[in-house]
Amino acid sequence: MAEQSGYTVASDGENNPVEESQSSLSPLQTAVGIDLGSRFCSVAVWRDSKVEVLSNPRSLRRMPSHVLFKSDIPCSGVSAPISDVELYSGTAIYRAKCLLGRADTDQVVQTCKNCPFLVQTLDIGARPFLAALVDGVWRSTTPEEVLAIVLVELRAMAEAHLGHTVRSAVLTMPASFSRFQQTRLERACAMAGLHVLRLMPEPTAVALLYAQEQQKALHGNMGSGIEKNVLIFNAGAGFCDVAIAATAGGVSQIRAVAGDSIGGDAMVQNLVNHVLNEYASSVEGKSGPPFSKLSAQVVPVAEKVMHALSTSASAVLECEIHERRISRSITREEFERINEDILKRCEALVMQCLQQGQTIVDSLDDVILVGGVSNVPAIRSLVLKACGGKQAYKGFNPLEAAVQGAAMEGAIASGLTDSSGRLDLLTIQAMPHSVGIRVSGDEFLPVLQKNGAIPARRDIVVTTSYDKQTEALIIVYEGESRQASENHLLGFFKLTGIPPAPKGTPLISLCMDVDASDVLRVVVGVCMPGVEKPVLPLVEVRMPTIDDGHGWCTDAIRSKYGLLLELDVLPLPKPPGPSA
Amino acid sequence: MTSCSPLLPSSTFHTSSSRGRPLCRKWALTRIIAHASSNRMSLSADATHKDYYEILGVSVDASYEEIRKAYRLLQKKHHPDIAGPEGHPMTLLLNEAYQTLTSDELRHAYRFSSFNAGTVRNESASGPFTGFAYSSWNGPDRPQAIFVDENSCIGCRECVFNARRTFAMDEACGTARVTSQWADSDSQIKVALEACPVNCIHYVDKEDLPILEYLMRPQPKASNGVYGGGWERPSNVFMAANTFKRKINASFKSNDTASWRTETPGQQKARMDADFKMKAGAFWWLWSWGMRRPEPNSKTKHEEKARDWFGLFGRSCTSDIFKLAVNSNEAPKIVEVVQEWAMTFASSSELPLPLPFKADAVSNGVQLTLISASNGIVESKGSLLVTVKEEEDGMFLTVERAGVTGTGALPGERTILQHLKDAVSGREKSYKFYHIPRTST
Repeated sequence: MAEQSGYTVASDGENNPVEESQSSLSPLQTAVGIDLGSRFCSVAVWRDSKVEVLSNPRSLRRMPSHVLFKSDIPCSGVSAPISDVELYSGTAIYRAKCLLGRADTDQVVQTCKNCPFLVQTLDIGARPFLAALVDGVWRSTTPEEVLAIVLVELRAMAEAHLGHTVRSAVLTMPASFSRFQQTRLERACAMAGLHVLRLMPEPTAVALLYAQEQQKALHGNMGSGIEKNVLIFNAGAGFCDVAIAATAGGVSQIRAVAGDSIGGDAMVQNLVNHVLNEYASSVEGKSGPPFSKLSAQVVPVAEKVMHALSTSASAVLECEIHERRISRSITREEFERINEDILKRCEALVMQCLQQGQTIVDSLDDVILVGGVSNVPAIRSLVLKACGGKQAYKGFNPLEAAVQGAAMEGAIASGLTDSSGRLDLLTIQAMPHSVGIRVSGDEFLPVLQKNGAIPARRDIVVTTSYDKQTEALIIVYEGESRQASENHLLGFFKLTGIPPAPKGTPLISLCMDVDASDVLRVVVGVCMPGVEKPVLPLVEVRMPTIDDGHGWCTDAIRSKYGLLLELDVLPLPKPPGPSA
Repeated sequence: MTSCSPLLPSSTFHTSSSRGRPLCRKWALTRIIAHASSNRMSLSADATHKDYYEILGVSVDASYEEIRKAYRLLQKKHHPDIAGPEGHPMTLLLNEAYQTLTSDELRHAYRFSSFNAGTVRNESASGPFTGFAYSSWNGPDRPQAIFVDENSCIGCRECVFNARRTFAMDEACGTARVTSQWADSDSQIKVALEACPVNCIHYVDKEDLPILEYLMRPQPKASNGVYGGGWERPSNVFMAANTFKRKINASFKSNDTASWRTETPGQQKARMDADFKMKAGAFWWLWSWGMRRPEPNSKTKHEEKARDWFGLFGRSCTSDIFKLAVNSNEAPKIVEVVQEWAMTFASSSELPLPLPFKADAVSNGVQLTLISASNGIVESKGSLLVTVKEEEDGMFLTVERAGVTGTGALPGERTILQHLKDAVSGREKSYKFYHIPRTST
């Protein structure tokens, strides 16, 4: 009934198609935790007062997350083993998570073009064309579809283990994922028949696990315990995230979170490029297959070299190019020099996180390194050095910590309680990005600040920019740049029917609300001074509303309305007096 | 009804009972809307200056660690991961309070602004006087309330031991305080009162309670540079309450020239009512119909008596809301009629009630419990007890209000009463006219 006072502009239905089914869930069904990485995936569940990481029929707890399009029914690495030859033949697609929700102008998409499967771009801001080679035919697919196939198999596996249907899940995601990418991930889950209970940045899942460990250690000792500050560094194949959490009494409060789309894949690619460049200069003038084709052959070898360098000081890269055998010894120093850029970006991420979390290095109690790439000695030493030369925390399996945390969050969010108090836990999430609107031309006005605690709500008042303005365009962005157009567009809508008045008179009240499951709502109302009730029906919009191609929308808005002030809004200076 | 206001009076944060929470998710949504629409008002004319210290339950000079600890403990209780969607608004407040109080800059600004707000309005740093008591009213409706004079309290905890639902220790101040009026049995409370070695627990008029509790909070002292300042409370709170009442009455008289800054409790109530209406959406007319109309039958002898005894400050205090004299030989038949009426009433869906209710037969009558079901959790919002009783001057059909809502009218109460009257007097009345599509609750 209450909605009669405002009309709701729901976002595209496909974004959250299974939300309604939540109420039909039986309250005791536990959500599983899924860590869906760009190269590997795993699933865990809270059972019998502990987290159980499930294994597939081949007893693998960490399964490759590629999808093989060999026969009529595509299968993923969860159920079927795959040879390296098949993986790099173009039949399999393996970096779907990196491609998810990205426009083809994105740098990450450009680097994926070196992969053996087909990634076609037109560089216009549309979705890249993704295809796998099936019996000599390029068959198109989408990143969502690829992830959904993996999720379906993970779900089937979990159901086989648990003996009942699995309807909901907590997924970990990279901290750098934009809200638009999150909707794509939710879409993939919906295709797999899974309801996403929470999407949590990977390091925050680890923070939850840490909080539990801490509480276990203190159990019987003292009630709430001492507060511990912990830095969590998570690096995988495609993404790298850092978070700072303060934990005490089973509550882990995320103070800052930051992420970047760099990872092991980029390091391997750098190594491959380095070797191939050397090769090209050595055999000048000799024609051969295009560069990217060669790259696909060297990647598996280079990956092995990278793994070997984690334990030994040097390794030999052996491969065959144009029937010519290459054998090249790579030392650890050389590898680090090649990847200097990536190491610098990792360090910057840690520094940025420490600064934003207002944490001094001395107050850190523990440094947790998780994820496959955290085994790289250079990255380890770099992160530990940035944290003041601390020792790495050894309590967790670095490859399973995230999925364990997700399983725990799944149990908590499903409302499960544990008599032994082991689930007496809570994560207070932080906003990974600022969310705001465009004001005064191209200025970005953040409404909800980065690293603010979730749930968050704030309202601001904006006003019209010229006399007798009757329409205003509200454009919502996510990001940190002060220029709105450099941020991620989340959606836009027009307020119409504002009573004509001198500029600065109508009060457009805009409220942004993020709830615990990270759903962003924007509610806008127009008030006139002296009138108690809003003069127009309120508009409530669930963001993001845009469906595709960020680049296009931003450019189209700019070209059509950018220079005209006719739909612009201006921030209203705060009236003097008390403000809450 | 105050529990639905986005401009929450501080009394609703004070307890963790269901009073401070919205009814369901749908309500939470309307709150956003109302909040957005009343934003301008809340920026300029919002008199409910939020007391962040109160929300977190820490003293004004609490250290960073204390604030963090309190924040964590409260989050563990109210975070939507644990409390469900109902915890959303409370968590928002906690986040807001935490953010302000943990940043030196913001905390200073907040102190300044709250102090400023206080001086402009002549009162308060812990929020302006809202007209609501801090303690919740969980027991039956009575003309008297319990109040601890914290200036005299020595923190012996005797009262807390004897009546732990009613009294609680404020660990920051080291004194006892009433958190929930009449939450324990009368005998327990009596024992608690007698156990107090300094006799600092008083029975006070219910109408005085908000003022007394408000004045008992430490207030900021005006400071001159580095001298003075700090926090204090009146040494004789009862004297201060009298002065305060006079001030309020004076401002009532001169309120034609009053600006928003000196909003009186009356204005505040009007504003909050308006706000409430907006939220209630299509139901507001029904609600206001139920709440505003004078109840012609409510002035009973009981009430007159209550007024004679305690009516120093206006309102009647009994929780009997409806009384009808019945012929004593008809009594069993009326009980039957009422029970039958209630059963059909509860199962019919054509009545325009904001909340569904269930009917349970009790001896001599029926109990109507208003329930709200959200997310599979069914919660009682209070109940109406309809009984036929014998009193000193004859048999009466009585409707009494009970449950968590205290003094406020229950949603749809008026409709129920009207229907009851019709049923008892044998008249049929069509309610189809008021038919509104029901909400999904």
